Amino acid sequence: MKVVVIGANGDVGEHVVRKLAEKNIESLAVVANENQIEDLKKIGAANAVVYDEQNLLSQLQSSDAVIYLTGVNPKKHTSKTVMVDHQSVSDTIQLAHKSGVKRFVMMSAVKAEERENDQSRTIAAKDLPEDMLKGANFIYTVVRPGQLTDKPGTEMVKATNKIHDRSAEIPREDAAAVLVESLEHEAVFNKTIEVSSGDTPIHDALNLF
Amino acid sequence: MSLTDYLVIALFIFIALVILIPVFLFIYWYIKDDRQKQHSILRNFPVIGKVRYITEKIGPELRQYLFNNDTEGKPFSRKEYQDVVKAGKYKERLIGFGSIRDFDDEGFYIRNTLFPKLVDEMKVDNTNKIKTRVYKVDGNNLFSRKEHSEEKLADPFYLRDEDAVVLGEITCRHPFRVKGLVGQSAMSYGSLGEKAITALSKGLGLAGGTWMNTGEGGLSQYHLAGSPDIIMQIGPDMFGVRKPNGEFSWEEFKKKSEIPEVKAFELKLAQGAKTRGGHVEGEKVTEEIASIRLVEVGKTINSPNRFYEFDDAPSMFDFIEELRSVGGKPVGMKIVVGDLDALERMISYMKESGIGPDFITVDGGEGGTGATYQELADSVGLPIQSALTVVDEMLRQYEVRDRVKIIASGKLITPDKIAIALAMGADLVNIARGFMISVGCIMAQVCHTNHCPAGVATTDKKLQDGLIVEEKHYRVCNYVISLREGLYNLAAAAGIENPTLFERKHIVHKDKFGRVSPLEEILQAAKRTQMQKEG
Repeated sequence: MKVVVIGANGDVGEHVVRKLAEKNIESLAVVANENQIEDLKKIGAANAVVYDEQNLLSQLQSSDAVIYLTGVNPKKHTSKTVMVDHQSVSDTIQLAHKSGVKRFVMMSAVKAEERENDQSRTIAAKDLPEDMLKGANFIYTVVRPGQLTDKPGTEMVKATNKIHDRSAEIPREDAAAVLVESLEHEAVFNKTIEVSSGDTPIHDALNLF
Repeated sequence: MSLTDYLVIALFIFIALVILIPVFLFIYWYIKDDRQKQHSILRNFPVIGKVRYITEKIGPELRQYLFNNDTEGKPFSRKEYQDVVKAGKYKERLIGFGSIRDFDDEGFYIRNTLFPKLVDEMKVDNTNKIKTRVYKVDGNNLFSRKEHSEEKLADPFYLRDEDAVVLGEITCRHPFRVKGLVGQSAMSYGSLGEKAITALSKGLGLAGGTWMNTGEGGLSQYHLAGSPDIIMQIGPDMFGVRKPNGEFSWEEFKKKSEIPEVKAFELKLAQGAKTRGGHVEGEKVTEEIASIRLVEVGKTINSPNRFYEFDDAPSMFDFIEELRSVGGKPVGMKIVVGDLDALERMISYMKESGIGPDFITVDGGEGGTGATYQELADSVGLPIQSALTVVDEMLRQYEVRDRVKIIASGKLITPDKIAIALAMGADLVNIARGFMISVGCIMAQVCHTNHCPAGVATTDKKLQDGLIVEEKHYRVCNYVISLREGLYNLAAAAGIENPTLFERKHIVHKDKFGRVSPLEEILQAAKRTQMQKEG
């Protein structure tokens, strides 16, 4: 399998690339800046490229899956407040759709559903990418981790449809492990899952869906 | 007897205790003070004169804790001390409401650029995280502070492979590549206890990209405990590499050079605190110390203040050449800059002969943890900022700067001070007391007594009981990482991609009147004055 990791330069992205390498899955790390290419290769990416909309299509076409992490392109859509990330998510989803790639794993956030109590447009926009993903013809998985921490991973999580405890934490390393584990785990195909630190091994936790 | 009688008796006893005992005590002290012949104040003012001695005794502690303001304590102010402790404990160095530096005073400033580097643009290697532990504060009340320690995957802030500083790149079979700019200065086992050395070794080993200098007291198992990169120091007494009769032992040296952790050797010509030979009381020369240092058990050691092996640059360089060819590892020397003419002769001989050390450790006169004499600590040797600039400039003049790395030391315990030293010409920086603080030193200034209350600078088992290696070694690691992170912060502000690129142009000196002069200009002015004198 060949996986495109978009936003590989981020704090979670690095761990995703490392976990993929551990599992001998070939990864193409898409990063924000040329400076980061060597680092990602060192971590274990088969290849690393700077985010470029023109080339992304062909890169996606030659891959089997996408893991999408936010924060890929700091130069794009600047000064547009909250729409920044979401515009580039939508762009990527459209491109992926066009490329025919089948599997799409996206990291979102537990707080992404705040719309329930908040009618303001700012937060409503957060749901948009997730909805688009569900609408497109992918086998998708949306992973919403709790508050990310820098603690070392434990490989033990709690995965549910909804985490009610908004202060629930999860190490970045574990969030990355969940993203990677989801790739080929049929139980979470076409699902949105929320994860935090827990006491179930990741594989078993995902089986519960 | 009735109850009243009992009460009356009780009252008498009470009065006797409360009044009579103090009165007798007073009379006893009065007579004792009056008759003694040692203290004039007590003879003239019996008992009351004691107040003077008591106040004098507790003065340093009172000043340190209460009366000195945050920036005035010496050798390190409360502020500097706390900077080190907090970096070690919390790995969190944010402050609020601005600096407490005295901006009216003169000093060096780092020149920031209009357009600094973005985090993404920095050349840093954070690919391998370090598993450390940090404290988190849960609640801070008047009488208690609740905090817990938790694991953390920390960014190590290594230099990239291609930016690593290399000692002995061309000269040695085994050059020493180091991916960080800060290491631990020479501290011997014996001057520091086994627990402090072990905690330092483990912390530095965990942090990586740094080094540990053994000090002249030989290489102990405690230095090796955490497998850090080691620079083994060789002093005039050649502890650990000597024959029983005191001569240099090539056999022992070869053995030491084959230890994989040992990356380089440093000949100690002098150190900031004591430009003199060391002294170890016979009772401190235990079997263990004797076996590490290769000396006789129980016999007092008085080290010479110079090597017998050489007495000028040519003979020293020959010795260095031989050390390098036998060991295959870089060989440097540690100096304190005082006699500029002798320094110039040595550097000119470096050019002439094409040989010399792989690195020069320049210790500022303010440096030094050890036991020494006040006159040597205060007034012998130039402070680091002057010494460093002189050495760097001289090496450039004689066009040998590229053959040798400079390691600077002397109270460089915070990132800004380190950055300024780098800009002045240092390639690497050594820290001793900063690391002592990270393993619990409270600056009690009793290193020479073996009674260190924090169990750091003592070999006393009971006092060392206070120092938990497992807990302290994370602080050592966090402190190093924080320094490296701080250096990257400063590099970004100065508009350079990593802290190895600091140059003279990145700092300026501001005098008391607000006049600003670049370092280059100060050097030029100094040169002009010198030429006028000569011409």
